[in-house]
Amino acid sequence: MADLVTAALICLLGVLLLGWSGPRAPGRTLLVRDRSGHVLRVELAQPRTLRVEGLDGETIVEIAGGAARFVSSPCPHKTCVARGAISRSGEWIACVPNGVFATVKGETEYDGVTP
Amino acid sequence: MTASLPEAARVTGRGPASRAVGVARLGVLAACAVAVYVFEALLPMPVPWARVGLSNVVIVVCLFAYGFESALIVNLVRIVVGNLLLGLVASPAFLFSAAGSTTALLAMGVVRWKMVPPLSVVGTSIVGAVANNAVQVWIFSAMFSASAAGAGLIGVFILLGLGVGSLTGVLAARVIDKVGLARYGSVG
Repeated sequence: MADLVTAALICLLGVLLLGWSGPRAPGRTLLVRDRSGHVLRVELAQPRTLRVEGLDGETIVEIAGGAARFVSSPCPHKTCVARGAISRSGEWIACVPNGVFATVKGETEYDGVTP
Repeated sequence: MTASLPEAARVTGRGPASRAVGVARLGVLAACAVAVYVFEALLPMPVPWARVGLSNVVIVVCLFAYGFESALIVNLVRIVVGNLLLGLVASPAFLFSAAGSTTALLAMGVVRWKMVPPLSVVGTSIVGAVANNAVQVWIFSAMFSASAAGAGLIGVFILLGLGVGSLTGVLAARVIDKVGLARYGSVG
């Protein structure tokens, strides 16, 4: 009985928290954190390739067509590469073994203010 | 393992002989936990960053049959030796497994001895798995100063914890049942 109540409460908590992530509007800026926590800010509109210093080596981040993706990483599972491209605000790619993280920031800081 | 463990558990007196048996028993449990831990690491992950955590069966059995201290020692050996064998001691993975498993064990210990009415083996295992996952998502968010990313993960990982905790709990309950460990109580 106590088991069922505990499992039900945990299930409820999990389901409630499932939807807890922000809106997904198209983003504009990509923030990339390297191994030392230094944050690089780049525009998604500008195609380029970044070489980010990680814990185990270089992670290559490619920006093209308003989206960013991890092209290669020295990590064992390549989950970050398999994640594919991100382009919308709040989307992210993380490579935990290599300590590299990228996330897309929103449209502009004044979005929706001007008439 | 199934043949020797209850024999070992029967020796509950004091003195050098029973002490040696206790140490030997912990050694067998730790070896078993390390073997399962390393074996599971070689399998592909069902979900990115997530695995079932089969070696937690050993930890849960240890907690219920031999007590909190024994489980703590077996867990420490599992994490340190397991990650040494996998070559992960210097990687963030070590921090995740050490923090997650220790928190899980603390949570299971509290639930095992303080909760009224008590949880079964399965319920305790679920609490441990969810605690492990919650702490790991928290470390992930802190590691990248990305609480928004952690927020998107926490719900999924709580539900995954519920699933894998049930599975390992059922397995642990079966081991305890088959081997009859619970009858000998906590001697660790």
